[in-house]
Amino acid sequence: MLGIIIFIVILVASFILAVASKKGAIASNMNDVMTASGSFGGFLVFFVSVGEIYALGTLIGAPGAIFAQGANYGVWFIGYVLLAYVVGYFLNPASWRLGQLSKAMTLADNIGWRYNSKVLEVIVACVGIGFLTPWIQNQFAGMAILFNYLNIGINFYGAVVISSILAFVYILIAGIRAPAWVSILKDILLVAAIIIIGIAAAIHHNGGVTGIFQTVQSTHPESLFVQPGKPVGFTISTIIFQMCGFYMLPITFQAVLTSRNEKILRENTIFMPLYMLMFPFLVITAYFAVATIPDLPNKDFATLAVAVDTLPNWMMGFIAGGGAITAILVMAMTALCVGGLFSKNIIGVIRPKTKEKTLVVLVRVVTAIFLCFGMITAIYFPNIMANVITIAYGGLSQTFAGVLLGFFWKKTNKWSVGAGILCGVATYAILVNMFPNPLGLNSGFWALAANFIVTIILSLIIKPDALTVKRFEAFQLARPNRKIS
Amino acid sequence: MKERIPAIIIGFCIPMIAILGLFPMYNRAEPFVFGFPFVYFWLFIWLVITSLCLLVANKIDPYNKPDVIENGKKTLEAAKAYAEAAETEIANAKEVK
Repeated sequence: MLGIIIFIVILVASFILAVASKKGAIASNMNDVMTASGSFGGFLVFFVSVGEIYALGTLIGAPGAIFAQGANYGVWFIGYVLLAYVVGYFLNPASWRLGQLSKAMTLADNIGWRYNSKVLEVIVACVGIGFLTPWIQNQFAGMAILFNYLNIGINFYGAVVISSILAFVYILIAGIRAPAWVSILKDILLVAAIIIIGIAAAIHHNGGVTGIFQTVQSTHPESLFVQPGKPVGFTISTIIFQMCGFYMLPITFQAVLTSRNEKILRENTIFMPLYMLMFPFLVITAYFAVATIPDLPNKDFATLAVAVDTLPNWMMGFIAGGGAITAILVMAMTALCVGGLFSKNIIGVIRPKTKEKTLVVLVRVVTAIFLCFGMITAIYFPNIMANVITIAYGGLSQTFAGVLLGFFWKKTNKWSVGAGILCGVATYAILVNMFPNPLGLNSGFWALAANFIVTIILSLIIKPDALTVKRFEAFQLARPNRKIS
Repeated sequence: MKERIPAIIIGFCIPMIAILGLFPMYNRAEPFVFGFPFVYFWLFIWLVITSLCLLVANKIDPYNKPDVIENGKKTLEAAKAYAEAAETEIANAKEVK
């Protein structure tokens, strides 16, 4: 009973935060709904970033996958997220600067403007929407695991309906501002839950952390490091392509656009790796499960099984609430990005005369439709948790080649970038379905490599149009250390 | 670009080498440190060291100097004007055709 009260209090608190975030929001303005008019300082940019990066995949998926696959998964996950911030230090300020020139509200705006191509804009939007589908499904699947296992008095269907409505209401109230503010609550709860479960696991095992790993070494020694041979290549190749793709996810890119200036984006990267200090607790949780409940039938239950085994019952409401708010937030941001891509970069291109007001309404309609869609897929396919992230990255990271080369190579053009993206996505689809992971390297790595090769070769052959060249020059002129004569 | 090289080395190259380059060296269970297998211990200390690297990179990055930031506002406006002028120019050229 106490559990469900805590759960409800958390949801109500998030709603109050969402309402409070409305201050300064302009509901009829597209730029405000999508990027808060680029008004956020370091604090909110930080929270809107971590808010969507660390999802239920972190709380449930990561320990579940480490439990199932050992260090192969743990090293990959920690490695790629950490290095993504290093890439972001240099990439994001440049993306932001280009966004200022292109008046970008989405990732597709940036690429479409740089290469002077509406078709490319639509391609990027379609890839974004298509590969964000597994992302949102993953959130619902996580909720299914959460509510089926914790049993706090609300069943999965009830939880999903409440969550979807809340996610929609956030966006309706204040666009991206609501998720940014709610994220503060969400991250406190998520980190607290992760640390509490980790500590509880360490306390419950003889010999603490040392004891846990000693037990694992005698029973599952192979799970303590990445196995030599193929797993090494797979881990490294996955880290490389996902660190490139990290800030190409429409949701992480959206956080970049909310920033007031580019210095904030650089400074925030100092704190991003420190925020990852919650990972030792997830690793403890995962290996506690390996040591004590190795026969758990569904590996995705690892975190929750450890929580149920080690924590008092009323704490389950707290974990369910923190988990639900995490899922809701990521759903809200994902659906908002899909709404923006569809409305601005597809309908806005097909029907250029559509009024801004109509487009903003459309953002909300698509947000709602996408949430319903996610809800339905989750009810029919509730069990796919692992590897979904990699599928999403396989597609979403393909914009990296065009974005990166576009910053410093004059010759890149709409044909080369468009062909590169399509080739990358096609390569990924073919490899995953027919010849997964050639030579032991991740299919996504091959796809991104193919993308780069196609983009570079076609850039050498085909000439960019005049406006594309001018826009490249404009971007070079924007360099902050350029001497103005 | 040239003046940013120290920041690139410290903020980019060092963490990349530590995580990707040295992978074969640190990918092992033993020795256990603070109870953790060595591979995890290595990743965890690099969370802190990477943060320090980025702190130093922020300090020495010429792009973060106050006068460069002020200058950056001007270059950005100049670039916007340049892009807009180019757009009208090319649109006009098309009309003439």
